[in-house]
Amino acid sequence: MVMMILYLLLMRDDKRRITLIPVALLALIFGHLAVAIIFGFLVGLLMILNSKLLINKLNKKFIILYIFFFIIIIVVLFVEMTYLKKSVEMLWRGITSLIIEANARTASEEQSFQPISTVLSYIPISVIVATSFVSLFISTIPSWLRTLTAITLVSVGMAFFAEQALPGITAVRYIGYPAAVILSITLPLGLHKLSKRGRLGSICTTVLIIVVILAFVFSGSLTPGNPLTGVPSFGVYGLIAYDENVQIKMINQLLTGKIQIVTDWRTGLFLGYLNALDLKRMSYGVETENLTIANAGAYGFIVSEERLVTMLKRGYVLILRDKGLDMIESFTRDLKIKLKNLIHNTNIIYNGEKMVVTSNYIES
Amino acid sequence: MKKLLIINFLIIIVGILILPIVYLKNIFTLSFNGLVLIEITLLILTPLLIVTFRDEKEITTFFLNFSITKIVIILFGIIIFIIAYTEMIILGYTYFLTLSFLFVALFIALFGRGKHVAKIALAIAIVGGLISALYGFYVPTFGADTWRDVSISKQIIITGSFESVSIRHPAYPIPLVPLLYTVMSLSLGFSPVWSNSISGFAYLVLLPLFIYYQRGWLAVTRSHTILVCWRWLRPSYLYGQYGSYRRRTRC
Repeated sequence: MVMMILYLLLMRDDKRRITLIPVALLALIFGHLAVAIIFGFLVGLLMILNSKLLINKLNKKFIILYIFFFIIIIVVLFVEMTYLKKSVEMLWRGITSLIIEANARTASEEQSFQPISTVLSYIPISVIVATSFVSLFISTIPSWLRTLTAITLVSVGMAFFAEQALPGITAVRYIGYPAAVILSITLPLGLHKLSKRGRLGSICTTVLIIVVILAFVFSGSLTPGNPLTGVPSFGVYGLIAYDENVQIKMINQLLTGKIQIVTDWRTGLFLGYLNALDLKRMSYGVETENLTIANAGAYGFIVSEERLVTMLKRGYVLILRDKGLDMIESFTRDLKIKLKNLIHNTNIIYNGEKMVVTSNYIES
Repeated sequence: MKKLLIINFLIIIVGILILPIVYLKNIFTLSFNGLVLIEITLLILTPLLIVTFRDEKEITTFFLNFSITKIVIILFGIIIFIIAYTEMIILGYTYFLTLSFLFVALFIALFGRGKHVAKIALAIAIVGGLISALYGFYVPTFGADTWRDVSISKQIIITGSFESVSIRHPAYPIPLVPLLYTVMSLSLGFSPVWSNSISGFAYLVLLPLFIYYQRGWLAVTRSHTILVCWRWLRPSYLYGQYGSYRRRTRC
C-alpha cells in the first residue's frame, strides 16, 4: 500500500489516478495507523530534502493531499482518544520491554544456535544493498532517489548492527526489511546501469542474479525440511504436517478445564485458532477462556531445560512435536539431548507419531 | 564522483581486512554469521565498484535460446507442483528433484526469451506451484499477526457480528484485513485460513503486475523487475527479470 501511494504521488500529473490517492490513504490509515504516521514523516522528509519533488512533480495538489492525510490521522486519533492514550503507554512499555528482553536475550544467546547456512537466506539482501550502494555513484539517477537510497542504506546498516548488539529488538524486522523493500526500487536500476558497462558489467550482473537464485534455492525458503538446503531461522521451517495437524485437532478435543500449555509457537498459534471463539489475547502467547499457551520461539522466548522443568512443576502441560524441537530459537540445543530423561520423569498423557503430550514433573 | 568512488573502494578493501580482526578481538559485538554476511556483502561490492569505474557502452544482454510461451508457463507450474508434492508424500519433504527443477525454472524465467509479462507469469507459476504443494501438505505458515487475523475472521463468521470480536490490536483501529478474509470466506465458502492463502496468491500475482504496469518515472524499474515478497520475519523469494528497458507507450 505504501509503495502504491508513493507511486501515485510520484507519477506524472494524471487526474484520473490522483483521485485514487485519498482512497489509498484512507485504507492505509485504517489498515495500520503506525505505518501511516511513519509514511507521513517519510514523505515529509523527502519533501524537505528535495524541493524539486515538491515544486515540479506534485505542486499544490500534493500539499493539499498531505494536509488531508494528517487531518484524517488527527481525526482518527481524536475519535479514539483512549486508543491514543493506550498507544502512547504501549509504545513506552514496548520500548522498555524490548530493551529488557533484548538484554535478557543477549545473555541467553549462547544457548540458541543459528547454523552458518542461515546466511544463505540473507544473500539476496546483500545483493540488494551492494547494488543500491553502487547506484549512488551513477550520475543519471535523480538526486531525490539517491537521497532516499542513502537514507535507506543507513537504515539497513543501523538495523544490522542493532541486531548484532541487541538481538531482542528485532531491528531487522522493523527497520531492515522495510528498508530493503525500498532499496529494491533502486536495485533494478543499478543492475541495468551495471549491465551497460561493457562485457564485464554484463557478466557481473548475470553472476549476481545467478548468486541470488542459488542462494534462494539452497536456503530452503520454500523447501522445508530438505536435507540438501540450509536451515532458515524462521520462514517455513518446522511446519505442521498433515498427520500432526490431525493429532493437534485430536489433542485440542482433550483439553478441558483450565490448562496451561507450553509448546512451539506454530503449534501454539494453531491451537489458538482452533479455539478462536474464546480468544482473549494472541501475540507473544495465546490466552483463551480456559487455555494459556506459552509459545516457545515467540519474541525471544527460548525454552531451556531449567525453564521447562520449572514450568512443568507449576502445572504446565508440554505439547512436543519432533519438528518443533528443531525450530531455531525455540528450544535450547542441549534440551533435545536431555529430553528423554526429562519426559521419563513426567506423566505422558499422549504418545503419538512424532508427538508427545506430557505433564507433572516428578523429581527422580 | 570518481574520487569518491576510489575512496569508497579503499574503505571497502580496508573493511574486508579489518572486520575479521574486530570479530576475533571482540571489539564490537558481532556474531560469526554477521561477520560472514558483512564480508559477503563487501566482496560482492568490490567488483561492482570496479565495474562502475568503466564508461557506459551499449547494453550487452545474455539470453537462452528458450522461448517462454503460455504452454511453458502452465507446464512449469504443474510440473513443480507434481514433483514437490510427490517427494513430500514419499519422503516427507522435498528433495533433489524439486531443488533442481526450481533452479532450472528460475534460470529460464530470468534468461529465457519472451515478453516481460510472460517471464513474470512463469515466475508466479513456479512459486505458486511450489506454495500450492506446501499448503497441500502442511498447515499454512503464518505468523502471530496472521493467525490473529484469521481467528478474528473466524469469530465474525461464527457469531455473525463484528461487535463480538474479543481481540483487538491497538495498531489496527478497524480490523480491515480480517474483514477482507470474512468477505472472501463468506462469498467463496472457504475457511478464513484458505481465504488468507488465496489473498497471498492474489498478492503474488498483483504485485509484479503493479510493478510492470507502472508509468512515469518509476517505470524504469521495469528494466529488471524485482519482486521481494515477505513472509514471517524474512524475505521468502526474490525474483529478478533481466531484459532491456523499453518504455511503454500506453498502459
